Amino acid sequence: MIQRVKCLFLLSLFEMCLTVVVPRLMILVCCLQCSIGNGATAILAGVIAQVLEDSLGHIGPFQGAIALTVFALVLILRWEENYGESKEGDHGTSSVYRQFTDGWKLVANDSKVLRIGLIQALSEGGMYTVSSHVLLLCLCWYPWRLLLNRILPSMPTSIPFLLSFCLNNKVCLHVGPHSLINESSWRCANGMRLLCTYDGHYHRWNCIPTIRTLLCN
Amino acid sequence: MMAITIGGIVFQPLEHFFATKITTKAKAPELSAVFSYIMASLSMSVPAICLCCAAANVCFERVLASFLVIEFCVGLSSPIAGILRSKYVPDAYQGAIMNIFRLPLNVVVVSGTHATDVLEQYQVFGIVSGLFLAAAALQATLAMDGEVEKKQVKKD
Repeated sequence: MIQRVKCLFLLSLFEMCLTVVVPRLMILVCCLQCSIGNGATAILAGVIAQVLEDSLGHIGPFQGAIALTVFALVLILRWEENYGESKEGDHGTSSVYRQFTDGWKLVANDSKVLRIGLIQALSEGGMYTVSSHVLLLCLCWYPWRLLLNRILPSMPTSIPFLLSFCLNNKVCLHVGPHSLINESSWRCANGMRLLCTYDGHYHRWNCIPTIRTLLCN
Repeated sequence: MMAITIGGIVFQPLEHFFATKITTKAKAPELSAVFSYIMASLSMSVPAICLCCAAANVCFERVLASFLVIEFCVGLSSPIAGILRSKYVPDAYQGAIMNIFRLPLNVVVVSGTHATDVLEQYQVFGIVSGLFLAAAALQATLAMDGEVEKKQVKKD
């Protein structure tokens, strides 16, 4: 829950700062680079998480996440403050209450803003719904189970490998698609790792039966 | 993740195509968004139809491909959403407006997640397909608004 609150808070903050810091003409380039960087970072995060896990144990990826968060904090400290004022220095009229009441009025009066908001709610809602559903389908649907049973028990657990099965960077926890450092795939892999059991006899990790018992029954 | 990244890379050529071949540069993001949401809706209709009416083994490749397409659409729609918000929502109200619409967003997510417990899988995919289609329809009205306004200006 703390993670979810933190993500929503940071998402709002990132997007507000994006519109203030980045000139309007550069928003396209910036959004584009964020989208590409987001995917590339998530793949890299999976690999780094595996390396940290190998060297520091199960808690390694979490310690790495702390280090990354501190690094992000250092970067954020250099940003200029965004009070949400319509004119520079107009802090007095930009209280949270005022912004929300004015925001509601704007939504009520401008159908384009209403439609943009609804489009965002419908499309992102659909994406998050399908993400959680894809995980269930991956683990419970018969053809996927055949594939997973065939490959996974014969291999040691590998975070990038599990990630490829997630098929989606948001399958485990609902995290917005706009976060600059995409931690959801990281957490997805670690969430799966927590559900795996180590089979000492065959010296291998066994994940799927445990997860399937939890989700499919 | 690769599909999302590819979606992000493809956005600029796609927008250029819409701007040069189909509409004006100003309306290209709106049309790109319509295209992206329709593609997402179609891709989600594949598992909905397959899981409902076809044998499971027949559908495996199609369902896998549809998941990759939806990922591609996520990558594609991510920059478009940012651009459209900056275009239509005033800077001073970005935070407030975004938070206001988190309410329906989370209602959709909670309802959708609950639906996975009470409905069949194909029904949930059908609902998700419908959500994307509704988003595409709303986006199309935004794209058409500009065209209507332009025609009215020409008449005047």
